[in-house]
Amino acid sequence: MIEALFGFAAMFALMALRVPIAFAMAAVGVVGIALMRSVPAAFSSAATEIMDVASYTLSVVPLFVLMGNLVTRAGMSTELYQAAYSFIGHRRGGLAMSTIVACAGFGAICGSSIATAATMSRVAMPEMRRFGYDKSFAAGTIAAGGTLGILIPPSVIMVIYGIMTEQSIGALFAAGVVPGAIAMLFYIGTAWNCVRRNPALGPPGERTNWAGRLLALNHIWGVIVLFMIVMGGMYGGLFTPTEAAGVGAMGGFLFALLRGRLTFKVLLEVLTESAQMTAMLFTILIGASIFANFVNFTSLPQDLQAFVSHFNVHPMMVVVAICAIYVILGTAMEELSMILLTVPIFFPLIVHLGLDPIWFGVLIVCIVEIGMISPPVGMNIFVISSLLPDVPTSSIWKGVMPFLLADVLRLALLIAFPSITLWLPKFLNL
Amino acid sequence: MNAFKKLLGAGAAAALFSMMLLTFADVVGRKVLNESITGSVELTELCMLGTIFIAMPLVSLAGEHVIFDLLDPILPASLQRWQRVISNVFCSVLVLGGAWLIYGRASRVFEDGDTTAQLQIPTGPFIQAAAMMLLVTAIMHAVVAWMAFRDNVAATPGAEETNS
Repeated sequence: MIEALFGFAAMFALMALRVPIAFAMAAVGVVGIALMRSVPAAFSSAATEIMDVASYTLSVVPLFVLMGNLVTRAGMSTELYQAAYSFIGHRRGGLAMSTIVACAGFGAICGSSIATAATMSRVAMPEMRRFGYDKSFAAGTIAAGGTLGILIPPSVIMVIYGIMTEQSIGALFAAGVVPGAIAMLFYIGTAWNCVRRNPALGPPGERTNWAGRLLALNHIWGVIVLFMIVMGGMYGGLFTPTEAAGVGAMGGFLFALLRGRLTFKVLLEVLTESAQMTAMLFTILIGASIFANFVNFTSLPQDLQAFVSHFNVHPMMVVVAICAIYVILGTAMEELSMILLTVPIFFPLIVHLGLDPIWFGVLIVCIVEIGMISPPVGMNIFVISSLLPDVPTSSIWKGVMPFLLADVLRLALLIAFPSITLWLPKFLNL
Repeated sequence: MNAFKKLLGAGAAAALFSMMLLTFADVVGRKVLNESITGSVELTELCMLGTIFIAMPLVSLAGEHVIFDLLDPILPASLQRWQRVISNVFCSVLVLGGAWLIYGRASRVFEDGDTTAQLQIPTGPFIQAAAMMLLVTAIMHAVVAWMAFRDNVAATPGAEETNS
């Protein structure tokens, strides 16, 4: 137990020195294993973890990252926004609600929150400005809506959680669908409630007639086809997740190509960007795996289980406690590293208590969503504030607060009723 | 340096693009034509190796690794500059160690004459190449550390003392 605590302390000290989190984890892991076992054991474990990232199963990560980056360049976000707008844009706060619906739609073909928020701010912000929306409310809506990207499948975070804990990626994706829909409805409800209290926040847009609506729907066929092929193929038993990701990336490539958005230069840019993103993610994965090996040599996971059994804590209380720890840690730490760092400790506990690992995975994704829009470190907020220089960060924080409340409510709902999450994977027999 | 970055970028991009085409062709081949590509799994793994390890120096050079920067607003700028030097030296040494480990593994693989299961591609050279890319990554961290150090010396009055 004490070794693990020393390990964590050393890691936080390195992090405070601005050593990247991935390298801090790797260094502490190697030294820890060397001290507890032997130097050759530490070296061999490190070398194995480094080489293990070049595996077939893990190729699902770069392929989904690439798919997301390609569909972002294909510019499908504009059509999604227009389709949502044509149905609900004429209502009070309708543009904000359209933004949320479009974010959810984009999340269905893109597995990244940051990409979703960034692409939507380019499309939705000019429209909301045109109709005189409150800037803080508009930016907050986009920041919150963007987080739907990782809950609605495909989702890069779910893939990484699935690999780390050896859970079915297909089941995780299916488990994200209903909570994703609930998240979207909660966000729409939040937007509705905000404008009900203060109508000046979001004036109504123009009404679209049915001919216009059908035309707008007609324009999003690309998104629907891509989603159907990738997800349908996976659940129809046609593809494995890796194959689905490859087909999805190819689909994104073809769309971008057919829409004339892909010059050779742009393609090279997208590919390099995706490769760098992959290398960055996998560096964290290598560091976290080495660190996890070290933690598994310590008695921390068993001590924690013994502690929980000794005091006869109700499993639900444990989950609530873990979620609370995550939400607090998540305000200060980058979410992916936080999860990879703590999964080796918490995951065995969850399994030990007989809780469902798929359900826990979805809770973790919801917590990551909260972390992405909660102060002081929220990636989505930073991305949007860099794209909208005239909206001060503090005002985005203010705008996102009601949505953060909706997130916490949703998390409580999902903790209280695991069947909401687990219904679809069970129905699909995953 | 720019040409070097472009070269690495193109290499990583080519590996990733091949991986996409390969996975897609394999799926279509298997589901539609009932014929899979021989060794598609091991070829994908080689593409993965290329994508990750060729892109790694670029990530380090661009400083894209996730860091904990919550302390930045309260730390004085001069201290932060030194943090950049120290942390990059640390990373450089650590990655150098990784390169050495992987190089050692490659040598053993060479001796055993390991090949991939289906296509009989010798894996030694690829693992050695990964070790080389880790070495390049370590050099990149050293370069970033050196540049930060030079900026520090330029920004610090009485630079001679800090140089010793």
